[in-house]
Amino acid sequence: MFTLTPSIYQLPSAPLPSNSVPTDTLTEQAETESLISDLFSRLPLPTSAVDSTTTLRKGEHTQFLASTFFKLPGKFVSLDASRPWLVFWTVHSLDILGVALDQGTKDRVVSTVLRFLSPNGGFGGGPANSQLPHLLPTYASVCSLAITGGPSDNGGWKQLAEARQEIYDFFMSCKRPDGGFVVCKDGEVDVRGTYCLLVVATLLDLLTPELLYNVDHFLAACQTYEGGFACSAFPFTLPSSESPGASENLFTRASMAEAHGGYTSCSLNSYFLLTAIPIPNFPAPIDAGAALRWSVLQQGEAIEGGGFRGRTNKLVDGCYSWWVGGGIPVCEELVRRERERRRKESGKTGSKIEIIESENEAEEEEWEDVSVPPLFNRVALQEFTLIAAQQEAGSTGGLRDKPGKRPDGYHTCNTLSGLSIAQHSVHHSTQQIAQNRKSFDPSRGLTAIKPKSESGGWRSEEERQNVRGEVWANVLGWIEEEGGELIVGGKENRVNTTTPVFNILGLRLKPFVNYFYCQE
Amino acid sequence: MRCLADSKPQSSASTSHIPLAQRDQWSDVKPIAQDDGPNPVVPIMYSEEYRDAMDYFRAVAASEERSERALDLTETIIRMNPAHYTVWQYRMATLLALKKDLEEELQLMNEFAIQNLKSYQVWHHRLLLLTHISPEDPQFEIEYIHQSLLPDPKNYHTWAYLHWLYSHFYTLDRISDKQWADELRWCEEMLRVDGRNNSAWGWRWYLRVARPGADTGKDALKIELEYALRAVHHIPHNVSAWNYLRGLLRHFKLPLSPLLPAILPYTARPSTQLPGVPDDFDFPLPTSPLPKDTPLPIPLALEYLAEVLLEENQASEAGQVFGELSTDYDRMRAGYWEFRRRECVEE
Repeated sequence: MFTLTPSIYQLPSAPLPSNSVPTDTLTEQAETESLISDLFSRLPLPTSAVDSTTTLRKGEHTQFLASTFFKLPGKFVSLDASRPWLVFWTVHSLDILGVALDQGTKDRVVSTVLRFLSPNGGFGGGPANSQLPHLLPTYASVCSLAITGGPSDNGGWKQLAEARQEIYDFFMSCKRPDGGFVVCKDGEVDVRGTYCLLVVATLLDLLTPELLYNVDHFLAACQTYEGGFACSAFPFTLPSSESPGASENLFTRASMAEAHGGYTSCSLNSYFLLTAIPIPNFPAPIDAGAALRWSVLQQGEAIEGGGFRGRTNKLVDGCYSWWVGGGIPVCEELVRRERERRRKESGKTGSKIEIIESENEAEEEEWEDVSVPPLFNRVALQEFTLIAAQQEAGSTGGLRDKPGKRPDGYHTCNTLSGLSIAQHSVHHSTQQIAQNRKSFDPSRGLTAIKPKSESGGWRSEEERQNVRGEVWANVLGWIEEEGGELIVGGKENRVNTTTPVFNILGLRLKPFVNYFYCQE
Repeated sequence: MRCLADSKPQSSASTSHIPLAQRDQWSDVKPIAQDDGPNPVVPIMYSEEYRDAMDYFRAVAASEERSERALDLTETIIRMNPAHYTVWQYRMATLLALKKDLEEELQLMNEFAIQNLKSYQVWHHRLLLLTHISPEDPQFEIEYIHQSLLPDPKNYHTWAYLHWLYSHFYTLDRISDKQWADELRWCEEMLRVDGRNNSAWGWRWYLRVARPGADTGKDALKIELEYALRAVHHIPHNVSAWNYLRGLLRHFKLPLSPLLPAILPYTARPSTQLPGVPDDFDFPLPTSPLPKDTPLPIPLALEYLAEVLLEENQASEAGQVFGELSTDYDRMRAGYWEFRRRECVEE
């Protein structure tokens, strides 16, 4: 039968044709092709039988993660400014694998992470008496607290709630007029910072117009001619200080490099978070169709095991399972919305979609568009993970870039996150959002954030509540399609479902965001 | 041009293991230990040297001491951990406060590069240095970056930095027409050596399309389309070249159909179905014969054909081509092409 997700074993193992023009890129590609295809030819079909070579070796990976959780050798000093990431990679990977931490360990995680919280707001890469707050460890710390903490006195969430205003002030101190953010004091501007900030601002109920100002234009300018996104965009003309409101479109900007999986993930997820915020003509549009095309083109051929590469003509690497694969459900939803808008504009009522008149009036019954096929090869990505990305059986455990590379926490976390995306079919559901909207109680919430400038806040309490409600409803809009599971290598290989955009499990996301929006 | 070779190399940081507490120079400072709390997770078993240096760094930073010994300390730490953004920040602020010779610092960064001490921070530090040095002519830095791309022609940080370098100095009006022209030639040489280097394609896009002042008039655009097409004909399976071609058409909102005669041979449609090449077609055509090892059809050529058909309101024909991609010619992306097919059928 014709399948839309063929196995590597059903596909011809053809190399990238040379066109009689050998170059370094071709040589490196050929080396990777033989490295991976050799491995596939030596191992049996994953679906044929359950044995140690074709199962997800959860026990070994747990051992691997545990081996660097309680004590790291001195060579890890290069990650001394990334300790919140070491925590996040471990606790999120264990969450995906379904390994529960005992309460004592959770308490240790919470108390460790809270030491990274600066009294001036934001988390550093290590204890606050050693390191400046930085946007990236702030994401890693907050997500780690979402996973291991709780509402009890020592659970970390209360401490986080008390630090909201300072975290916001730190965020505003990172803001640049062009809409970019420096990652730390005097630091670089790129979309990693934007993404980490927007996730935290969304989850902790910190969003204001002044924080969001021009962020959409910055992101849109990072999209390249290929459809993916670059690290940053350069503003060639600065906005005039007299009329900041009118200046946002006067920028000439240029993306600062080629499209890249990591930055595409950050940009798409950031843009997606912005789309939840009900501000007229916001966010400035991106080309979601081009982003989807770029993303699916990054999936490697059968001879490379069907993993994702991070840039055109580069090599497949397990970490892009998340950076590129994890962006595809987001692209899917953005493209669906574009189609819906087009249909609405052309006045046609699609046979499968009934048009909602206004986003805030989703009272009408709406049919989910069920006709979308899987947009990337979910089977092949799982095969890549099992066969090429797992460290050889009986060794250290852990997942890796590709055969021949050493496994590490970063690759383990991002490869497993991508595996979760490949196994589960998760959609942003308009029905779920409509339901959330109905149950939102605007009378409950934490103290409103005090904006930095007098005109930087929402125009009215009503507007603020409307934004809070929409943002909260959208955060909890991701649902797993029933019967949409597709697991290669037997049921034992099933991992838990991570949430697109945020990359923490839905069961962690919900209580956490509810705590900060005081909702149930 | 500034001659960096003349500047005195910075003495390398002390690698002796004499604890700072035993050095007279530091006798007035009380070290501060890392505040990890009891029983932390992910503790790193620091070397004595790193722990010692960090204990003194915390003390120095707490008192905001801007001094030579503080600079030495930051260098010691950065050499052990080039990703220590806090220490980098402190170093830059101290260099500025002490009005140090920043060209000497640039020289140190070159030395770091040779020793492969790589991080986001090394590049950002360099960017800040160039901003402060603000040379009248950044040519020496352009040449340095060109050199460092030779052994590592896809280093993302280096390419992003090159984009910044031209952008920043353009806003200061310090990039001459000759420099822009030379840069384009250098980029073309990179692409001649490896036409699959997507980083170099991205640089070409910046030089020819994205930067302010790029000539995007009709003639320049034709040259660009020809360049992209020739690259496709040179290496027909090169996704970089296809994406560049499509990027141009999309960016300038041009129809795809006029270039179809140059694409059709890659679709391997039976010749009876192919329209002939119009007499007035003046874009480069595929080589005849095609390069060896060029199996047909090329999926991206079929995609191009399908989008031409869509453009000409032949949705069902377009859907059929997308269908063939899904069922036969690009099975890895069967789901995506099926999605494109359904769009044609449903809309």
